[in-house]
Amino acid sequence: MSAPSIKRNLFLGTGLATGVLIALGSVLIYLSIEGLLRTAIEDKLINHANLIAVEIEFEEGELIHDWKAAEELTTPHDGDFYFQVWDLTTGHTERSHSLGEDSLPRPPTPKKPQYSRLTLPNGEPAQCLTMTLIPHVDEDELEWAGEHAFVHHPETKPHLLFICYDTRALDRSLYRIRRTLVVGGLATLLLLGIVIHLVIRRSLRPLQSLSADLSSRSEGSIDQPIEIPPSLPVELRPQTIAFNTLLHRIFEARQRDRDFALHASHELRTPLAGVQATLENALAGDRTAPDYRNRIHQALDLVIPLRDSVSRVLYLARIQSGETQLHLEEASLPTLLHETWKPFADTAKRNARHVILPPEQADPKITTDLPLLRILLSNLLDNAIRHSPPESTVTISLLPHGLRFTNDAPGITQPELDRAFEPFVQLGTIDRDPTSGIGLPLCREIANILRLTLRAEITDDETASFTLEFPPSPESRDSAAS
Amino acid sequence: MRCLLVEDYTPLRENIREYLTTQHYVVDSSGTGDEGLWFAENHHYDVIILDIMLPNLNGIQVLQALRAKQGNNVPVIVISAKDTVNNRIEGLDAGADDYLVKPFALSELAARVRALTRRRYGTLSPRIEVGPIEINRTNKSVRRDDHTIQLTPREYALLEYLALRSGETVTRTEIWDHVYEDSTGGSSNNVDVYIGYLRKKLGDNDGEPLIQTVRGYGYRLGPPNE
Repeated sequence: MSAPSIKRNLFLGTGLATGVLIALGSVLIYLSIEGLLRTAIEDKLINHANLIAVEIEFEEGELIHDWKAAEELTTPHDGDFYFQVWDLTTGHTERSHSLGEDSLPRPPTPKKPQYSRLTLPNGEPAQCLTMTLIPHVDEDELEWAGEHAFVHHPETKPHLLFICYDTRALDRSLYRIRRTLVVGGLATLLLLGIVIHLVIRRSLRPLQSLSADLSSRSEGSIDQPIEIPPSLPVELRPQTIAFNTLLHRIFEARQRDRDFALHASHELRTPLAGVQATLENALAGDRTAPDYRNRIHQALDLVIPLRDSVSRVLYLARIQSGETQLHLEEASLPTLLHETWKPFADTAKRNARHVILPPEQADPKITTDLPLLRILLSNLLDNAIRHSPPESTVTISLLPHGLRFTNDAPGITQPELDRAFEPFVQLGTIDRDPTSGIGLPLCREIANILRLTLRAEITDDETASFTLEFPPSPESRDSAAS
Repeated sequence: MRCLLVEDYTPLRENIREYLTTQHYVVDSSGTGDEGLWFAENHHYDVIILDIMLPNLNGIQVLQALRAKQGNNVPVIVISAKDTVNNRIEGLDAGADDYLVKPFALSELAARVRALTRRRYGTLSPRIEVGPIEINRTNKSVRRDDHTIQLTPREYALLEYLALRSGETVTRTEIWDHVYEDSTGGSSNNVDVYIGYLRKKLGDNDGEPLIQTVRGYGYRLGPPNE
C-alpha cells in the first residue's frame, strides 16, 4: 500500500468533485434544453391538433374531413406531422397524406389529451398526441340546419385523433447538444485538471524547498533553524515555526553534549598530562630503584583520581542519556552512609578534615537504588572533604527524611553555590583539582533519577550546606496523617 | 635561560619544572594567574609557559595584561587542555607565540622553548657559533676546535646566555636574572666565579680570550676586536 499523498489526494479530490459538478451541470443543461424543445413540439402538436379538430366538421348534415382538402394541395411528406383519425362509433379511420398507405397504431382512448413517443412506420422517431374530439359545427352549418330543420348531434360522433411529429431533427439537435456537453465537459475537466495540478504543484513548492533545504544541510548545520521567507504560505508557517522550535531544542541538546564532551576532554587532559609528564620525567635519566618506585607511585596517585573522574564522567553521560535502570531495595540510611564513608576516612584524616557522622542506627529506612545512592553519597562526601580547608569540620546530620552536609568554613558565596551543580564548575580556589567538577552535577542527576531533592544553600553562618531529602515512605505518611 | 611556568595543577607544574631544570633552564613557577602576572611583570624571562585555566586570573587575562604593557615582548607558550581551533586562535590572538595542547611530551615543550628563545635572540639555527666555540642547544653540548668541553649545567646556562647575546655587553644583573634560580638579587661575585670557571674550561687563559670583561658593566662573548 503506497503512502498517502497530499498531491494525489488534492488532485483526485478536486478532480472528482469538479468532474461530478460538470457532469451534473451538463445533465441539467441538457434536460432543460430537451424539455424546452419538447414543450415547443407539444405546443406544435396541440396547435395542429386543434386545427385538425375544427376541420372535422358537419357540412349540410354530413360529417366531412375538411383537412384532407387542404392536404391534397401539399406534396406527401412535406410536413413533419403524421396523424390518423378514428371515428369511435363506426371505426372508420382517416390518415394524413404524409402516412401514405401506412397506419399509425391506434392508441387507447384517453380521457384527456396525452403525449407519448413512438417510432413511425417509416422508422423515424416521433412525439405524439392522443386526444378525443367532437366534430365541429360552424356558423354556416348552424344556419343551414336552421333553414332545413336539422338537428346536429356531434357528441354522438366522437373521434380519436392520434397526431405525431417527426422528431428526427430534434433528436439530431439533441445529439449535437449531448456531444457538445460531453466534449465540453471533458475538455473543461482536462483543463481544470491541468490548472489544479499546476496550482497544487505551485502550492507544494515551498514544502519541496524546505525539504531541499533540510536535505542539503551539512553535519555542522543540521540543527540550524529553517529560514522563513516572506513568500512562505501562512499554512506552512506554524509547522515551520514548530519545526524550528524542535531544531532549537536539538541545537541546545547538542550544544550541551558538545560542551560536556569539551569540558570532559578538558578536565581529563590536564591530569593525563600530569601522568605523562611524571612518567616522562622518570625515564629522562638513570635513577635508583627507590626513585623509580617513587615516581611510579606519583603517577599512580594521579591515575586514581583520573580513573574516578572518568567513571564519574561516564556515569553522568550514561544517566543523561537515560540508559540507567533502577533496582529498588530497602536499607538503613545511616548504615549506608557509614559504609560509604569508610574509603574516605583515611584521606580525611591525612588531610586534617574532621567529619562528624550521625550514629549508625536502623532508621530511617529507605527504598531506593542502593548502588546509585552510594555513588551520590560518595560524591557528596568527596566534595565535602575536597572543598573544605584543613582543620575544618564537616557535619553530616540526619533529618527525618534525609541528610544535611554542613561545613564550618565560610568562604563560598551564593553565586558560586548557584553554579555548583553545573558540570566542571569548581567551588572556591582551595586545592583546585582538574579531576573534580563533575561530582555535584552527577549527584544532581542521580537525585533526579531517584526522585530525591538535593539543595545547596548558604546558612546563616555563611557556610555551605547541602541537603538531600528522600520522599516520605508510605508508612510515615500514614502515621503523619493519623 | 630563565623560564616562568604558570600552571595550577601541581603534579604537572612540578614535572615540567623538573624537566626544564634538567635542560639547564632556570624555572620560576606559580599556580595562580595573578601571581604569575606579578612574576612576569617584575622579572626578566626568556620564555613564559602559561596555562589557560588558572585560578584568580585566567591565562588569557594574564597574556592580555602582559602584552598591554609597553615593551613586554617575552615569548609565551600557552599550554592548555582546550584543543579546538577557536581555543588556539583565541590564545594566539591574545598574544601567545605558541600553543601546545595537553597532554604533551616534555621533550616537545622543551623543543618549543628552545625555538622561541632562538627567535628571541635572532639565532634561527639550534647551533650557535662564536669564534672557535660551537654550542649545540639541542643536546646541550659545547665544542671547541673539535674537542668536546664538559660543562656543568650552570656553566652551560651561562655560556648559552652569553652566546645568544654574543657581541653584546651583558651586565652581571642580567646574567643573574637569566641563569640563577634566585632572581631576587644575588652576589655578583658568584657570577664572576662562574665566569672564571667558564674561561678556564674554554681555554681562554691559554690563548685569545673569548669572554671579555667590560669594566663597570659586565661581560661580552666574542673576539676582543669585535
